[in-house]
Amino acid sequence: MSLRYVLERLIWLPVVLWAAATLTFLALRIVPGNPIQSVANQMLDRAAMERALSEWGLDRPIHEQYAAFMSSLVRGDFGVSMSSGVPLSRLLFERLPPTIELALVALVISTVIGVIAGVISAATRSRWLDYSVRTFAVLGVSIPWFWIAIVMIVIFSVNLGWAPVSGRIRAGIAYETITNFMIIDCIITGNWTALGSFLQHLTLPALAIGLTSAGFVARLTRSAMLDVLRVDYVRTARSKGLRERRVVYWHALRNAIIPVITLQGLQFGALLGGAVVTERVFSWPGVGRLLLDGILRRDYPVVQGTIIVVAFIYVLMNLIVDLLYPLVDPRLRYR
Amino acid sequence: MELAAPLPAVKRRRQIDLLPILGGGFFALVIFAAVFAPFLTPYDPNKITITARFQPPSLAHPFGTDDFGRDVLARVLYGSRTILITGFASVAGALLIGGSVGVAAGFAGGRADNVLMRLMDIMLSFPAVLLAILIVASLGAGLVNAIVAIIFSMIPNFARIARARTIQIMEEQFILASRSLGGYGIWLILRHVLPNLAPLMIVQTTAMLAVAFSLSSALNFLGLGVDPSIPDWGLMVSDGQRLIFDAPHVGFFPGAAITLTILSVNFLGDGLRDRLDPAMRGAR
Repeated sequence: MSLRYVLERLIWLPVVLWAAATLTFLALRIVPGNPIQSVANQMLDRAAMERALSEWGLDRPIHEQYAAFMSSLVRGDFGVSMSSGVPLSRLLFERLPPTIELALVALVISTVIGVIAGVISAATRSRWLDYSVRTFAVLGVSIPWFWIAIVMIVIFSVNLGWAPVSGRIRAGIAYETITNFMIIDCIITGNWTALGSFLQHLTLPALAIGLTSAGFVARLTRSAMLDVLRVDYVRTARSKGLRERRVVYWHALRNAIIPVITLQGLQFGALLGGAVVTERVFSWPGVGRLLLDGILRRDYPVVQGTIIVVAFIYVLMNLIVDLLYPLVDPRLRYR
Repeated sequence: MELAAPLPAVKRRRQIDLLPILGGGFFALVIFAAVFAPFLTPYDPNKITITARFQPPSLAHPFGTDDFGRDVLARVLYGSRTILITGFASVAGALLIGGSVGVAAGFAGGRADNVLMRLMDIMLSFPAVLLAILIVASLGAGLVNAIVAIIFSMIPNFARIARARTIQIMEEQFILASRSLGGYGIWLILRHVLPNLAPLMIVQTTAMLAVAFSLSSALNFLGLGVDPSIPDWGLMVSDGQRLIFDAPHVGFFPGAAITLTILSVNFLGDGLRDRLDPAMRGAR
């Protein structure tokens, strides 16, 4: 990877972000009968409606609205919720960490299970294991998250009573919010009761997401391992008389893990998008729920703000994966 | 863990692929159910029978009844129509638009290619579900709007693949030969590019059909798709979630139907890929 490529990507970044924000802005305004209109229509009094429209700046021509939107966005101001009057920045501070937390834990689950299964399957070349991994991978991309989540709730919450049905923490447990990442906050404040309850609530949603993508990770790990196990340095390692275990775990795995890292980096962005669906099932108070509530309440600043933020994170994540790639794999450094 | 002795290369097993056949068979069954739903069940999927609420699966109601006493099997049978219509319509739309964009970009090259593909990059800066949700939030819920939303979220996908393959094809010898014989423009595309592009696009379309089904059911599950009076699997799972304590079967069967349908299309797609696209065999 050349410096030029990195620079090109970095210059292109603000353009993509700007375009994503513009697309979101336009999508929510270009169609007649859009959210704004319907908020206005809910008000019976014409004078009140006009007052509200001018208060939100919605009576101004679209290019003025756009200029105002862009200039506040550049300053990091995402606007104010129409239904609650709360600034978006605060809503996002409340709702983004739970989503990121859930996505990260799910990612860890799928990586750990997927890589272990993939490595064992490649190292033993077990047909049976290979078949299970493949089946699991296809099943994982075929099962809708919302359904597997509900099935898990029925089995583990309703019937077995092992896990809570919904929410992020048991009602009534006091905890202090610092970063709003529950794991970090609980550890900082030493609040083990809250941490325990949080982990209990986190288990099912994270498993529902993590398990469905573990099969895919396993399949990728397996094929990458099989490729790597055939290359020269692995043969060299073997001919040096190294133990098979050391060859597999030290020489091969380190190289086979690269595509897995890429996959998981991209997966993280996809998980943020999918959060809308999973969070709805588990009443997880994340950014997906915020977006869905925003749509149902026709609260367009909320819809706009959440979509833009998630798209930003998604774009940044993809960029980071792209740029980190050569760091993990030195062979790609100079092209 | 027992480690096998190192082998020089992985053996390629030649096997009869049963899964694509099974997948195709099941998918044909789903289409059959959608077309002949009225003949397959004596029940009206929307008929409310208060006396028959919350019945567990039985001979009279193999999938049980829901909180309005509606027969779940009948609703699953009729519900296949929504997901199939949404899936096929959106894949067709995305193939047409995305495919055209891709072929145009790959064929024209230069500035047009750059502009079109940057546009696709921008669309790809949203996760697919999010782009679909943004469009539904803009247009409002409903069957047609859901289809439009899914089309848009899949366009870049088709465009990128069509473009990459078109560029490859344009470098082939037969294009050069055809050009030297005076072939140009639209004729070259119709005569040489499209036929060579077709196998890859068939594979891609099948793969994207599974994605369209899952997007469709997700939108409906979230209440952003079809009107609640229309039987739909995603909507039924959402209803079923309300009833997990009283009647867990209500959400189970439609969810299983979604899973099996997507699974069958994925198996079918894998089989088609092996057949039509030898370069991608065993990859993924």
